[in-house]
Amino acid sequence: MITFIAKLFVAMNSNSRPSELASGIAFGFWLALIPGGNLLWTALFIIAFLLKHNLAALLFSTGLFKLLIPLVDPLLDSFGGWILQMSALQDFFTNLYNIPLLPYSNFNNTIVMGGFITGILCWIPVYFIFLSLVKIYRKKVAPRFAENKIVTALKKVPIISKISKAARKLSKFA
Amino acid sequence: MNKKKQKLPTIFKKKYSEKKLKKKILKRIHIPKDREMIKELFIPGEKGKFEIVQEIPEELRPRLKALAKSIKKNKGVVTTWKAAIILIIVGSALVFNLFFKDRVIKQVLEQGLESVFQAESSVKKPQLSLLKGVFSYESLQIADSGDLSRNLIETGSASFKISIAELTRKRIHIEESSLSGVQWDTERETVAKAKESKSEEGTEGDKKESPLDVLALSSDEMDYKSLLEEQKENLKSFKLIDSGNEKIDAFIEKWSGIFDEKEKEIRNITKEVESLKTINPRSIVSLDQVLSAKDQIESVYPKVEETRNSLMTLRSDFLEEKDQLTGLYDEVQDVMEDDIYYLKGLTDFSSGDMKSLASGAAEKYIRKRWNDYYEKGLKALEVYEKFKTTKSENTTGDKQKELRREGRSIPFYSPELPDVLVKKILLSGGTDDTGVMKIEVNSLTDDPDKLDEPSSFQAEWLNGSTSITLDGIADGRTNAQQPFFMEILSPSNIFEINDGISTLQIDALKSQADISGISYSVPEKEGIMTELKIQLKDIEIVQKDSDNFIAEAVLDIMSTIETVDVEAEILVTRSGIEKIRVKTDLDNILSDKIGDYIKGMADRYEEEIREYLTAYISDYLEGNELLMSAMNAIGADSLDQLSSVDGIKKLLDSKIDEIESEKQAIIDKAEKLMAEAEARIKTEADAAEKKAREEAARLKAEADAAERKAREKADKALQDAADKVKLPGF
Repeated sequence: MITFIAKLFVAMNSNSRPSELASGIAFGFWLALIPGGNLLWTALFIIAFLLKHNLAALLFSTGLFKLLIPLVDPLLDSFGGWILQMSALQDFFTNLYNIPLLPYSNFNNTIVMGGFITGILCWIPVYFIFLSLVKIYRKKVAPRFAENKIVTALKKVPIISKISKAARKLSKFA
Repeated sequence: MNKKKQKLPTIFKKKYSEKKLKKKILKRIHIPKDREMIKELFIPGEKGKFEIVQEIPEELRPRLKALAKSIKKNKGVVTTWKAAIILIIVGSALVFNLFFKDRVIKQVLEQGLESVFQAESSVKKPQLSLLKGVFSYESLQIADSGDLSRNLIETGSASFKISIAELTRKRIHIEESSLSGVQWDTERETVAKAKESKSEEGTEGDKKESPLDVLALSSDEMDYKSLLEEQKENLKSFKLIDSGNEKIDAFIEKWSGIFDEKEKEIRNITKEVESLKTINPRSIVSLDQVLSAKDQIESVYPKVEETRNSLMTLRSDFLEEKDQLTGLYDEVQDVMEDDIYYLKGLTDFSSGDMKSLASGAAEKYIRKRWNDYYEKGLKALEVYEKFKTTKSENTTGDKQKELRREGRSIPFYSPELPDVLVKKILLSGGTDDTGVMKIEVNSLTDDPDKLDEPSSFQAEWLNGSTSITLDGIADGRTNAQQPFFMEILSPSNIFEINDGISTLQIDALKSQADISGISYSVPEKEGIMTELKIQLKDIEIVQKDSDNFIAEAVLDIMSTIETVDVEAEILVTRSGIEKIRVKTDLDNILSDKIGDYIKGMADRYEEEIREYLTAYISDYLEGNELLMSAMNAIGADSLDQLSSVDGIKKLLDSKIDEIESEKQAIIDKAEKLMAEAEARIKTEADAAEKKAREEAARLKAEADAAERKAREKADKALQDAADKVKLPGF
């Protein structure tokens, strides 16, 4: 976990693209929304893995949101159920269900469908929110952070120093 | 010491137009501070192209190196190393598929089988085609963990073909599954290596004594005494005798005491009565003496009367209790008859209602064979349960990890096909010694309602001229008329009873058997009922002791009959073999032929048992004899007592009579005297009266004369007076 946090910290402060960080977080959020153990999640993870994201941001956000998403499961259940039962989409879903391999995606499960569609809908807002946040951080927070005496003092706290060391170590490879 | 100058990254050595500088460098720097630094370092040169300044401060060089790296990294949308990983995975899969797949499968299969069967397993030439969905192997051997020199199972080639098209639709459809050369318990070429095994000690089944064993007594073995001893607990008469003896003891004790008391009482009264004998009525002369004697006797009389009455009551009670005990004896006799009937039943084999000899033997045989099959089935179930437990444990583990809701699965139309379907299973194996078997199972599915046809199976077993054919269906569809039905046809089997039938004096039996039957489900019992008809022919029997009557009779019967029909009903439920009922016409034949002998034997035993039991009961009834003598003695005593009291009473009565007669004599005498006195008095009185009357009459006459004289005197006087006295006027 510390390595993930450190990697994320390094990425925030290195010359990595803000979009990579933002899309990593957005994909992590999406993956957290969909329950695992089905072809849809696996496919989405492979796509997310192949695309140029910040992997630390992806994994960190997946882990973080996985803890919070169960709280909104009832909403995802209702939303997924509503989509799957829309009469206009019945033919589409029926065809989809009979396409080879797609039954393994469990798309006919209400939570899977609810999570998947919510992920699509939330991906762009999450992406832009985190893109802006990274930019703001780099432009305004990071320079002040580096010069701040409190931050300097905090770096001496064991856990923070550990993260800092890990970050330095990683930054050599960055 | 001069530090070695750090080289400038190539990306910064090049000359760029303003546009290219922005596109290739500045746009790829995302930290504003670094971007400003680069802008300052690149200055316009010849032809308006930007190049980096010549004098670069040494402290900036590491930063430029890191920047160059990150600029290079920020190129494109696909990460090279990730693509490489994917390529490696795909490449490995291909290499695995082409070169290692079969080896890995062999390893996995062998290890899996070894973990399940706890014995060395080997699979030869396994082949898997992922695209075709075919798995096959040349042979398989699983050693017996209990005997490493033998195989638990050995198979020849096997092939499984799964429909990949259906698999992509989340349906497992096995087109064909064939397994040939299946053999059990074969010898291994090499002794298997020992595996970590759970030593399961063979549990010896509870050797329950079958009803047949109880009946399987030869005539020589039949000992009625031991039978009586054995059945003592079941005989009512013995129990009744025991309780009767207790009553008898109590009875004797009670009445002996009572009559002893009475004896004393009678003795005292007798003494008193004896004293009365001294009274001699002849010596009584006066009435006072009579009354005194009478008072003396009458004072004893009530005591005698009271004793007599109490003796009468006691005797009545005694007789009543005696009758009860006598009734108990009769009851014992009745119960003894019942016991004899019961014991006779144990020795009587002739009745059709009793356990039948041949049926019993056949039942024993069938039960043994059926149990073997059942135990084998249980063993298979054990392995399955073990597999299932492991699987369910894993599933539980997965569920524990999952914190999220499961959600609902919305069903969408898909062709009406079951999720799991095994279209055909072909199984064959065996050897010439054990027989060759062929099994074919069709349309095995998890959702029978989605199939037009029920699951069907055919099995055939051939061993020389012997064969067994099974043909059945298992219809799991809703509202199926017959969920399970199977026909059994097995002509020309060898039927052997090597243990023999001791009750029939048969030491071994061998015959040809034609077996046919049906098996069907019994839903209310959740079991399978099998009805078998077995026709035995060419029966050969072995008898060691052929001198025995039964042996002779059986031999005679067996040589005359051509066939024996045996009918069996076997109900198998989850709890095991619930019922086996066997009927055979041999029972009728035997009962006809041997029945008479057996009946005679039973009658003889009955007599012997009766005698023995009577003697036995007599022993038990010694107390009863004692009772009878005691009762008789007590009864006699009581009668003696009663008669003695009656004697006393009689004596008293005679005494009283004597006294009464004496009294009467005295009274008579007195009366006579009185009468005489009265007569004399009367005579005297009459005479006195006469005299008095005469005197009175004389006196009266004298009085009358005196009166007349007086009167005449008076009249004269009066006349004189009247004459002297004249009244004035007159």
